[in-house]
Amino acid sequence: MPIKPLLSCAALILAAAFSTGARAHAKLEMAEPKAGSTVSPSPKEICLQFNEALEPPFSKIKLAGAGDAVIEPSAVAVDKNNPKLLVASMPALPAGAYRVQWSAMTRDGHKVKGEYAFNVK
Amino acid sequence: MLLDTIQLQQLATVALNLSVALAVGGGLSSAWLRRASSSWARDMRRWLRRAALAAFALALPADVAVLWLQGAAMAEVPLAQAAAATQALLAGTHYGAAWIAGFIALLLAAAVAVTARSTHWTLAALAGFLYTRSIVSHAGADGDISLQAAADWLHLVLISVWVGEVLVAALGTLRRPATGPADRIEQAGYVEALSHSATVALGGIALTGLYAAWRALGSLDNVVGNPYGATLAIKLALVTAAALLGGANRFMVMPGLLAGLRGRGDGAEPARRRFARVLQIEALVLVAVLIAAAVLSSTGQPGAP
Repeated sequence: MPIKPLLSCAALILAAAFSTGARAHAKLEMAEPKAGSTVSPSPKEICLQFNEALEPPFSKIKLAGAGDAVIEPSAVAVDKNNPKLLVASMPALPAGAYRVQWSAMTRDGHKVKGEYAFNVK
Repeated sequence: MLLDTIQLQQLATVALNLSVALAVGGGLSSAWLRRASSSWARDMRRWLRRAALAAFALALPADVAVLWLQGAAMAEVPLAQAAAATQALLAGTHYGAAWIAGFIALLLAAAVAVTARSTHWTLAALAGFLYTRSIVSHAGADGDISLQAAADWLHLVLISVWVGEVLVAALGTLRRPATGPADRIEQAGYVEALSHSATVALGGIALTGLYAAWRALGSLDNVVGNPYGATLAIKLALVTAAALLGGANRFMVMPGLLAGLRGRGDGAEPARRRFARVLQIEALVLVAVLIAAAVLSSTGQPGAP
């Protein structure tokens, strides 16, 4: 019975139990424009910073304007230097209220969705 | 539709985990019987080979189904329209890269098992496959090489060992009586190897499971009042029930069985039947554990949005 490798393994696991816990699934940490803000002029980009690296093909941003009309960004991409940053290039938006609707897939194979509102003056 | 995409994902995951566990348990059992020469052992080696083929025949399509269902779930499209999403998943995501590596490992394991070349290589390839599952689970959030992923992998390996060897013994190897003296001696050795391996696996499962639960829940407050905590509690209760059944078999039935097998054979047969019956109930409980684990893997952890 090789008891030494087993004990080493148990010690490693117990040592790790004292490190900081991590949460799975994406969580939106920062957004630009900010939630509830009023901006002028119309933002050229919507930038969403998450707590985990994103899977580009299934991480999306779209905008809902007046009457829930959907405004598709001209491009949505994960930043090359920051895999946790999702950037949407937006067309010029007329003054009004908008809702950013996002969905993010992370490396653990899970998808999370969310939305927030901002205004263009 | 009768089942939604998430439920189908859980079903495919159970089929995959069950078949991989069967392949792991079959591989271990083959290794224990490698040098055995009794007629019981020879028959069991043939049975184990058929069981391994059946396990891989289920595991490979189940793995493809898991991928396809993931594509449909991520793109939020019906299953019939998930081809493009599955292709995007394979071509442009970490999940897809891990799946490709896992599928190659599974194919290798199947190829080695089919050609009956080496049990050790089959088990090594299956261990590699299980690592690719860990890095696309909740435990993969910190990256491909992390203590969390390693602990999850060890947990998966040990669960597969326990479930697999109990399934194999309950369905095959201990259902057949050992008749001659050589059969009895080799069956006794097999029972001891099974018991020893299950005990070591259970100890490791408890340690790695506690660690994973602590990482996922953060504190005992999160055990109640959320679907993740509730499913985890059910899984824990089922694991405890299976461990108690295993313990009862180990301490109440096995001594009589071993004494019978190593003595003149008196009393060995009723003890073997009792041992196999308890194993069959334990196997059923362990299948329920795999179902709970599949539900857990698709349930958001508390604290996640």
